[in-house]
Amino acid sequence: MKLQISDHVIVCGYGTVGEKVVETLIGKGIRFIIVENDPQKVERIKELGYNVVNGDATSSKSLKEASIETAKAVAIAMDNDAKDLFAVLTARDLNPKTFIATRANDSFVKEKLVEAGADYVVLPQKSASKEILNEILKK
Amino acid sequence: MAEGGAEEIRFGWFLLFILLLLSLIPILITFNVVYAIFHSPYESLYTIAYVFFNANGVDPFASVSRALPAFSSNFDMLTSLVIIDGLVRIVVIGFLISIFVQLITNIDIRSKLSLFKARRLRSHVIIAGYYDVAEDVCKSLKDHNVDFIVIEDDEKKLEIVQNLGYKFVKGDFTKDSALKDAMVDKAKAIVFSSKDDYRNLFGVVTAHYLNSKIKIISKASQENSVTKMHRAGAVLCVVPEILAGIEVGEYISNAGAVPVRKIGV
Repeated sequence: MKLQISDHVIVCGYGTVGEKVVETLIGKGIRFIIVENDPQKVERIKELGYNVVNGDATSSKSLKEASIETAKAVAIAMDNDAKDLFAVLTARDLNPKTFIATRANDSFVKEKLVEAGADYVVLPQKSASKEILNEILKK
Repeated sequence: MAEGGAEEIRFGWFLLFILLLLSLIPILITFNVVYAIFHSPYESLYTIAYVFFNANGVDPFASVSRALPAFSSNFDMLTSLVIIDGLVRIVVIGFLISIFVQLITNIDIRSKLSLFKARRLRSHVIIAGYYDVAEDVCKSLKDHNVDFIVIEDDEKKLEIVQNLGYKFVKGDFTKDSALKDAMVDKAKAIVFSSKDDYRNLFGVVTAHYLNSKIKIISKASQENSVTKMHRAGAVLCVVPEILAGIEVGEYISNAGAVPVRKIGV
């Protein structure tokens, strides 16, 4: 069933990254919908009272159910680079104007994700190494 | 393989090499003796026969060589023995050379050299485990001209580290010896970056025990490892996925991509 919502963020995947994205969005008071196909995670999301679409974020059907046409941004946070790439392509295809942020596990995938239509790509390892370096160089 | 076991095996090879060198001398002497034993009587016999036949007016070549073509001064029957002797020497020397090469390889000169360089390090950073986060950290430290050394026990990763020209210690970072080889008592910081939170935690405890003043930073895969790392002595514990999630959330909010609801609205 399609949720009536607009100017929201679609969060694809409710793993560690997805959870933190959701936490940050809640802190900023931003509306969101989670797309997740793991039944246990879907159950947990429902218990938390969040909006959720039980489906695969790589499929057009799930993204349409999450009202991608009116979404302002999509945060793709699955743990597989190939799936992330697929989801980016699908999301861009369904809404050419939406802001797409995604994660990548390998640096060589980053360019491909940007090529596929991602506006922002984050590499968890790079984020971590930046924090570590700042701490080392701190006087 | 335990460090003590590896040392024993290297010593064993060295001992074998010395023994083979020593045994080479009698082997060579023996072969020469064997050659002499067979060759001399043959030559003597040939000379006697020649003199006897000659003394009696008989051409030894005409009589004997017809019957025994091999019994001729132009043909050395023991040529084959000489050839075998030569071949055996080649095999023995080849075998010894291969032992020597294996010994050199076992000694791992690059590793010893790196250890020697490590002893001169001061106020450096130790990178315990060369995994994805560590790769970026090493590159950044090199760009900032900060001295560092990598502890790693995986051969393939060590090869990469060596090829990049980084100083390294071959060993398990959870062991005191590896950390001591990396001069943990003189280092200013240590970073644990393996994928195993248990190993990282063990490393944190060990490093803190060996140098309570060192700045300990660790990577964790699970959020619930963070408090344990802090309790064990880490000043910073990063969970890459959490950082990534926060970064994405912040970026989406701050980039103005999405209208932010005011509080109370």
